[in-house]
Amino acid sequence: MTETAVERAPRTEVEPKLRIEKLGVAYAGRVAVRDVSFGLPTNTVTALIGPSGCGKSTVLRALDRMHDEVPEAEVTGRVLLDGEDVYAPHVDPIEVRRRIGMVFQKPNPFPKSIFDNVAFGLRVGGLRNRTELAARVEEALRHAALWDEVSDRLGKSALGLSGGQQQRLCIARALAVRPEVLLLDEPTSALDPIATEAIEALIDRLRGEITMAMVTHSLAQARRVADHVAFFYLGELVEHGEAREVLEHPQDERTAAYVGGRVG
Amino acid sequence: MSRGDRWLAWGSGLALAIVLFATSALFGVTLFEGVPRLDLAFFVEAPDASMVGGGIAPALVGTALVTLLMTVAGVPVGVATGIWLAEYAPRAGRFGPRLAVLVRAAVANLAGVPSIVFGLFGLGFFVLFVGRGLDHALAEGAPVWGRPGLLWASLTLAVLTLPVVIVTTEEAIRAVPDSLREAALGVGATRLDTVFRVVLPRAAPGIWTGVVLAIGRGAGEVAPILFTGAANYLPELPNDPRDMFMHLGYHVYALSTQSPDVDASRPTLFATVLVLLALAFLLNLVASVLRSRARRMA
Ligand SMILES: Nc1ncnc2c1ncn2[C@@H]1O[C@H](COP(=O)(O)OP(=O)(O)OP(=O)(O)O)[C@@H](O)[C@H]1O
Ligand SMILES: [Mg+2]
Repeated sequence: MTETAVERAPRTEVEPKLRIEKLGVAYAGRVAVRDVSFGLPTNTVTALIGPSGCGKSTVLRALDRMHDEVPEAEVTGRVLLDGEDVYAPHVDPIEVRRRIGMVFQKPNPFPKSIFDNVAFGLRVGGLRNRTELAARVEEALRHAALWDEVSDRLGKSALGLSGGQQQRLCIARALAVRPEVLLLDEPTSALDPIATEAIEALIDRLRGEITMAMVTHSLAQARRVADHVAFFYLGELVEHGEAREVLEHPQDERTAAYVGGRVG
Repeated sequence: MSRGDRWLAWGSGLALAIVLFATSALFGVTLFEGVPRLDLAFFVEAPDASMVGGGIAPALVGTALVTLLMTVAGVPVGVATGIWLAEYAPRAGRFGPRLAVLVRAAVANLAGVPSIVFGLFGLGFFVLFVGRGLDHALAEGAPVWGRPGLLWASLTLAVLTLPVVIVTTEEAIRAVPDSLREAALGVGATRLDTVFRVVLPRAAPGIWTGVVLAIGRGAGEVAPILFTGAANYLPELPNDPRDMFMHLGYHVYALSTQSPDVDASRPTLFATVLVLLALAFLLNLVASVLRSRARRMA
């Protein structure tokens, strides 16, 4: 299967915020993802969909160089953030991860206070000033639509929050360092419908301010929040384009089978 | 109930009876013979030369000092090794994982070495090699460094307790979920920040358990200090790390074998044993409290 993916994003002249070129990832020599190329247009939401094990998380983690921490993972290709390859030799992965935030499937707050959770990225980034820290923490919590629920217990442990609140806290923690891109790996799959709705509303509010890529197993969710959709199958990008086009009028039969509910 | 079950029930009952009997005999004798001898003077006075009267103050102080020095010398090395094994070695290129395998094998072997062998090692390496070497280098006439003393005994015990600290530290760090590391790295933390601000605080109760277990083990060992610093009878307290010292465990040995009149020494002997046991229980108690805290966090 060497044919290139069906590419139906409008061929605008505008450079996407993040452009992925011929991305490949192998774990201990076993190829997990090959020849993936697509772009995340500035301040939009792109949903990554596809059956389990097709490489969605692997692609997402390649974008903020998380594979650097996995000894057996090997990444090839380029990931251009504002036109500059994040894998270029002189680029510091720490800097990349500050500009590209990540939210994981299972809420993973630190066993620290709510305040310290949100302030973590700022502190390791060198911000010491207390008033400024407090201001940035409040900004991030408001951004993540959590401020009203936690403003009176910032010093309490984050582990006392509900699952949905914890996930919004993790989003606030990612937003606190003011990333330009936010990657979300099945951010609602561990949450109940009410909490899911809150997260989706939050993603909708962030649209227009920040470039997002979200892995999801729910086609309904992709329909609700995504501007663009990328469909992956067996480690390859099969189809990519406007959400409605890909989901309603898929060109590739594998995409059609998946969105029609016949696969996955 | 089948025959097998009945046999099992009888067998278990018998085993239980044996354990209870052994425990109560041990404590019964110790308490019965030791308690009458306990008073304030026992804790603050030096033993007299006959090993019948006096107290155990120098042995208490010596045990505390050697254990303290052992902890200060050994724990940082052990914890650092555990951190390296768990957190850095797997990512240290092709060389790191292989070196880690070697280090783990060495630690496992170290843990299996009988403690008397540590005593001989301490004598050969610390006292004779390092100590005599220092004497030569500093052109001391009579041996100053090259004789048994508090410092060498502490270092020997430190080596003995290294495996406990290394293994518990590595396990405690491995038990920290990767999701927390990813969370930290994901907002731009360095590996060092991740380890010190997230991983270690979370692993701390487990690491402390290992440290307390190591202290308990080191405080009770006699064989390693036999040739490296413990004194049979030395009423003066050490005031230099190169001085010899008295030690609770060694004092028990001396009272039971070296006393001119073993029968007259019995109450003193059992009172000393009582103190030693009380210390061991205390340390075990602290360790199990820490361990249950560590488990609750996991
Ligand atoms: N750390 C790893 N080591 C080895 N193989 C891995 C590793 N992580 C993922 N893989 C493999 O890479 C392939 C892609 O996995 P990935 O997690 O990216 O899939 P996914 O699309 O996110 O699946 P899911 O929808 O179940 O989350 C799978 O075959 C998986 O087994
Ligand atoms: Mg996944």
